[in-house]
Amino acid sequence: MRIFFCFLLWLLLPILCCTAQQTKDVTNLLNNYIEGVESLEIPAFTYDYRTYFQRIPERAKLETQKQFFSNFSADLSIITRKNLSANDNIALDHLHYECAFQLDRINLELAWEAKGREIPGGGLYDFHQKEKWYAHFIQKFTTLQISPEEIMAFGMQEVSRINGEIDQIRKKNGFASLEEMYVFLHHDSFFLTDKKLIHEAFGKVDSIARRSMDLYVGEVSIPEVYPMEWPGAGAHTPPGIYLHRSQNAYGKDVFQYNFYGERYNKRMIDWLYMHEAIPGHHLQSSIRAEKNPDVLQEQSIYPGNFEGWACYVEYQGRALGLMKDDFSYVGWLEWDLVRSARLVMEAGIHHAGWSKELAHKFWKDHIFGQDEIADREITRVTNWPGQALSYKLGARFISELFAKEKAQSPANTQADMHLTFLQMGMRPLPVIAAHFDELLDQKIKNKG
Amino acid sequence: MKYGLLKGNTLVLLMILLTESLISQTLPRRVFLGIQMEPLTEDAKRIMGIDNPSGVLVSEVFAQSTASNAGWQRGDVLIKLQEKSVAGTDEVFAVLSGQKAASKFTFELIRDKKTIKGNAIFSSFPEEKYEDISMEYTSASSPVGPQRIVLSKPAKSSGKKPLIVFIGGIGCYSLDTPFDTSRSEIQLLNHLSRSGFICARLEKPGMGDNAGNSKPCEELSFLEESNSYVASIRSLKNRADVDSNAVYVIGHSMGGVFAPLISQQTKLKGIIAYGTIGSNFIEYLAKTRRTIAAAFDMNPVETDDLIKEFCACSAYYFADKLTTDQASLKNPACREYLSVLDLRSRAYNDELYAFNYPELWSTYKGKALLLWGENDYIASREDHEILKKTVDYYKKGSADFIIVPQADHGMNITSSFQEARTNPGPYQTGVSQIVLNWLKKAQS
Repeated sequence: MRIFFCFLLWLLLPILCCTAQQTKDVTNLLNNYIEGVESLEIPAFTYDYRTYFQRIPERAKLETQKQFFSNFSADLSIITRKNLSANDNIALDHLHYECAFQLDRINLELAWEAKGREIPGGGLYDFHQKEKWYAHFIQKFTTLQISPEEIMAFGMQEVSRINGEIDQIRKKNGFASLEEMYVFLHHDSFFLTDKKLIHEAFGKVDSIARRSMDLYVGEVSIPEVYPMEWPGAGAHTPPGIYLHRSQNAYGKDVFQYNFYGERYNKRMIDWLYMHEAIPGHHLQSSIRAEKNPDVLQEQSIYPGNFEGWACYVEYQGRALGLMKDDFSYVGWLEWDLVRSARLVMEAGIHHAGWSKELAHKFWKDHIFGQDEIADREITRVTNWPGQALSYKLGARFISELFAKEKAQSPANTQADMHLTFLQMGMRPLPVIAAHFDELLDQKIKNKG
Repeated sequence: MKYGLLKGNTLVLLMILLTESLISQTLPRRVFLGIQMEPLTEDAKRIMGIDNPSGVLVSEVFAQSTASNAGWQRGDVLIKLQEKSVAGTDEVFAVLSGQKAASKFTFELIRDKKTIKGNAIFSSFPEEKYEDISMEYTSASSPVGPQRIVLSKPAKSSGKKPLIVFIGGIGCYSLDTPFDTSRSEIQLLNHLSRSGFICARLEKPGMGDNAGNSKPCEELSFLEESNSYVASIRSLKNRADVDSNAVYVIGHSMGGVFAPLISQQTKLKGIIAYGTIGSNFIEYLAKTRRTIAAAFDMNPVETDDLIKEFCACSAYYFADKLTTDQASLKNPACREYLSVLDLRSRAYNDELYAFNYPELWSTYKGKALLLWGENDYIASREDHEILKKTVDYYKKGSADFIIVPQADHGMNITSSFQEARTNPGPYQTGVSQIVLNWLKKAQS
């Protein structure tokens, strides 16, 4: 028996040692990459395209960046993947993705630099190579390669679907018109002015959401998350933001809600909590923090991944026992309608050359009762090309990924798929998709 | 030999006296605490589990700052500085304005619900640094106290260079912001310095390093502020590296009103006025309410009401000499409309009211470039056209008027009045190009 084990060890040792050595090699590779990137002084991530272009360095620095990413890409291509762990394989694919993306960026920036560094206002439509630039911004924020035509078509389809759902609710509740329904919804009884009551309402949603988490992601520990007013929020501030304890001064995980005007719409409570807290950003951050992300994940920002997840979870609101009453559900539909309209307006402005007036007309024609935020939203999609796509396109990608897995193997549980996705951390969505099946199988085998 | 020794000693003594005299004239850098602060709201107290009545929350500590050297951390609550309780950011700045770099100070913080008392030494405010631009923080004496001048020039330069002096707008703000060099003024001047000009940012009296050393900005009259700029320009003209016959002023907004006034006391080769005033102050205020209304998406009826009410409030203030409070009793809307005037002193505003703006320019003998950003809703295009006509009237062919595409009052990229109000982009580099082309022509 002992001889057998010694023989087995003799057989396995080179493989085990080899795997451990290769993991070390991949870790070194990641560290070298990050160190190299840091030395290039690439401007920090920014949402506003005008600031982005202004920060593009001069030609010599771009050439140095190009040299680095070309060399790194070449080094990556000769690495043998035999015996690499699943995580190392994913990290390598992530590096490939980043190098290709950075080279695409640099080539575009070099061409823009050569043309005289002009920064037209009003969107990307007036840029030289506007189509390539818009494709680049779509990928920057979503990590996906989707044509503007597809974005517009998907946005239109969603706008119609959501307006249809809102109309069904209108009819069900006996309102003769949307005007009549919104007169009712603008009644004071739909608004909270006392912050204590707002926090209590978020607390109730927290208890309901936590009850379902075993079935949603399995047994995971989710720290407490605190609601608070967004200090200094104004009319142009978004509805909410999540801040992990590592990103704030309070020492606890918080999400901040916009209490501008000191009147809070009750219909926002359920979906905002789901998006910012559980099972949205707070759950996501908590699970990711436990998985010790590698340096590349720590440095990466992919809104299609994290906003996509937080948007995806909203679609399960009713299954989690939230948005039970029609008007709370309408509250979420209203916001989903805004997100869908953003897709159409954004592609319209950057790809089809829409004027702001045309975007306003589209808003007027398709969104009822939210005129006060039209200008804010149009300004946002104009100046942050790609960002507003990350929610719905990310959510659609994630949803389709899970649907495909479920179709392939009906035994896959929702909890296993969700946890697998969240544990894969901050990776580009195509990289996650390429390895998802393998990691899900591994998780199920380990459980078995 | 004895005489020679004595002569040498006298020289040394004179040099020491001269050095001391120079040192005494040198304006020190202000202190650098090096934190980001946010208000300690009730929500923040609830989440952090603290119940002390007041303080400011430290939300970021910058490396190599006074705060990081003193061991402060993100999440600390600052409750006392120099034995004074601080309940808000204004109070922290008030304590800091009287401090000197390298001096000792005491502080009291709350960390993890425990009070920490300590003392540390103030470090001085950092300076801007660039690979291709050489920076110098100099100063000049003026009737209202020493004035900080931030100079930028090409890193490798020799001989005399033309001088560009920058004067800012109506507000009391500092032009010395090493942590925010993306602002339009700095971007513009850096561009010009890279192109071979010496550029001087004239800090406002009472602001930045001038705080506590000169008369406070809010108390100055317009003419006092103008005279402080004249003193700074005169001192700059004496520099060995400045071509005193090639001095230009860039007047941004209200800076464009100072510029012709300054030229009456010290000769300028050229004035570049961006987003300035060219008609009497009341007319300027009235007509720009229309563009402000457009930026706020007001309908025609609301716009007309705004202009009518604003004119009535302005009459209370300027003709009847009422204060904002007194005018607000007559019409509560005056409080909001006149709030912009309360940024400065009554004397400052009265002088603005008294000026005949074309008259200010009528004696000007140099060249003028009048710039207006096409999305500038704070200044009026018409005023710049008036100024061009005025300058050309008194000296034919010496003024140019250029509309800067896609630029707002702050020289930022924008595509509409509304966007200029709500979400302006970064600096519109087109401004630099226009200014540079004009300067090259003016120099040739």
